[in-house]
Amino acid sequence: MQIPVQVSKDGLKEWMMVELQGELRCLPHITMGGRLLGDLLFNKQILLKFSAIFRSINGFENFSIISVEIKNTHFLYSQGVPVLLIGHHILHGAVQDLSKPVAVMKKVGDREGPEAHYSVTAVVHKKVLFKNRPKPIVNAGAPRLI
Amino acid sequence: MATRTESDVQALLQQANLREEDLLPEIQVLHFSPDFLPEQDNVLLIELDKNLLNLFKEGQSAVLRGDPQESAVLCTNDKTFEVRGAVTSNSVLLVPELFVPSETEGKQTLVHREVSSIHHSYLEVVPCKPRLHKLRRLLEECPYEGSDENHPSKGHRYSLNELQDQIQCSEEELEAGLKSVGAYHIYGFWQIPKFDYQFRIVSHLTNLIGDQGWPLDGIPYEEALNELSKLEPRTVMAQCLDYYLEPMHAEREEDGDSLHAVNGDKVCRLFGEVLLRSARGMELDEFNTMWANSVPKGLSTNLSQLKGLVLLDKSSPATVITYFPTGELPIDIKSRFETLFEVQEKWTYDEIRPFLDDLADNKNPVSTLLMKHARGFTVDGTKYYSGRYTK
Repeated sequence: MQIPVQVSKDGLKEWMMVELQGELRCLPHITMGGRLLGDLLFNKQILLKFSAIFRSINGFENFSIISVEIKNTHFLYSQGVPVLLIGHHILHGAVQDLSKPVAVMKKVGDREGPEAHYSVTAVVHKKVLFKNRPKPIVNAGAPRLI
Repeated sequence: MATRTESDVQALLQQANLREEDLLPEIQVLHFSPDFLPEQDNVLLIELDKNLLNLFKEGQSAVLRGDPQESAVLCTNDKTFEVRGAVTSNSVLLVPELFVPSETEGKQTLVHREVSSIHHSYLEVVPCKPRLHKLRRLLEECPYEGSDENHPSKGHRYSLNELQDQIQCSEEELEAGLKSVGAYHIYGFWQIPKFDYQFRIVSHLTNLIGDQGWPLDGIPYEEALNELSKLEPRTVMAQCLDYYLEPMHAEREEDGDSLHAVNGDKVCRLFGEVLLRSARGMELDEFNTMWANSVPKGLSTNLSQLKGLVLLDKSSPATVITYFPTGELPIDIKSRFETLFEVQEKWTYDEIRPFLDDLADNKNPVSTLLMKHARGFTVDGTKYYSGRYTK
């Protein structure tokens, strides 16, 4: 059996993933389609960046002196720490590059049909990873859906 | 579904003790897509290596090959990758439009993003050897015995596309595999010549060389092909010449016919196989004499030409050689080792290697296979391998 894997006619998109520890559960009688999952925001994070030149001077026989010259100092905002609010829970995460890019393949057509193939719609290089357990938002009001 | 407003978000931020000035202004509200289903198996995540990523970036295709009972492989034009399923206890949410905000200042904005699917598994790809082991068996369903009028085909003949349906490897690897098993492409089908037929057409060639008095390294290709085509279909003879001759990259002076040389190893191997197939086992000395006499003049025989085809039994005073083709051994690694240690208790590395080569790959070379499935020991400085579980 052969199933072609073709790049989608719309081209290859660049998507992102959100990875959560554990599972998202919903009450059994509720369909998830269209429902709110949560808010994703990013914290400002100040990152101290400086570039320096390290110079070693071998003046003496048995030891060396290293001089450090600081050229410039910049204060920069880095990418920011992602924060996800789900219901009355808060999660802190990180943006990570995937060790290997991941392609998203969509099954098209009947399994046995002549047109059956996988369509590669997107490639993912980055994910927003929340690997810690959610913390409750203590003074939150009534719990909301999901 | 109520649309989430900025005041909803503001309220939650306050409860969570998040100050607006500490946040990047772009906030993304995540929803499940309207048609979201928790269990979606028509969308798969597959990890790519650099080659595959570039391939897709260039808009080229790949092919998944394999029957339901086989583990699938993903093939490009020239490479094969084993596809393995991996499971994660985390939930992976695909969010197509998601981005990492770059604006650090400005008015807070809300944008809505859809989660299109949730995944708990993904596929990994690992480069692997072409899985050609079924090839010979398929081709043997209908060996070629001569032109169709005289020998209507009895079994099923396979076209390249039919073979690709069954053989798990890339097209280039399949074509190389077909060459290496000595298959011929005959009027749209790939067929292995029946052994007797193969020997007959090679005999035509060696006889012609003898009759014409051509030197073994100066065979005019076109003339030879024209002569031989009087006896057997031209396409068959052309492929036979391509297999048993090698171009010398020189031309005959009078007509520019391309000169070729006989591949002595291949011809001697075939002639050796003829002798071995007809006998149950022979004393090595006797065989060597017969073999050397049977091959065309000018070719020299050497036991290494019969690698993976014979077994030498050194237990009796006179060494006995028996026909033992790798192609007839089990494909399953464990059964292969069992069979090998059944016919011979201990092997040196050089003895056993030809019978394992076809099972080895970059990740599992013959030495690794031996480490896994055999027991190594040394006698008088020679390393031997024997069965793991025997005695």
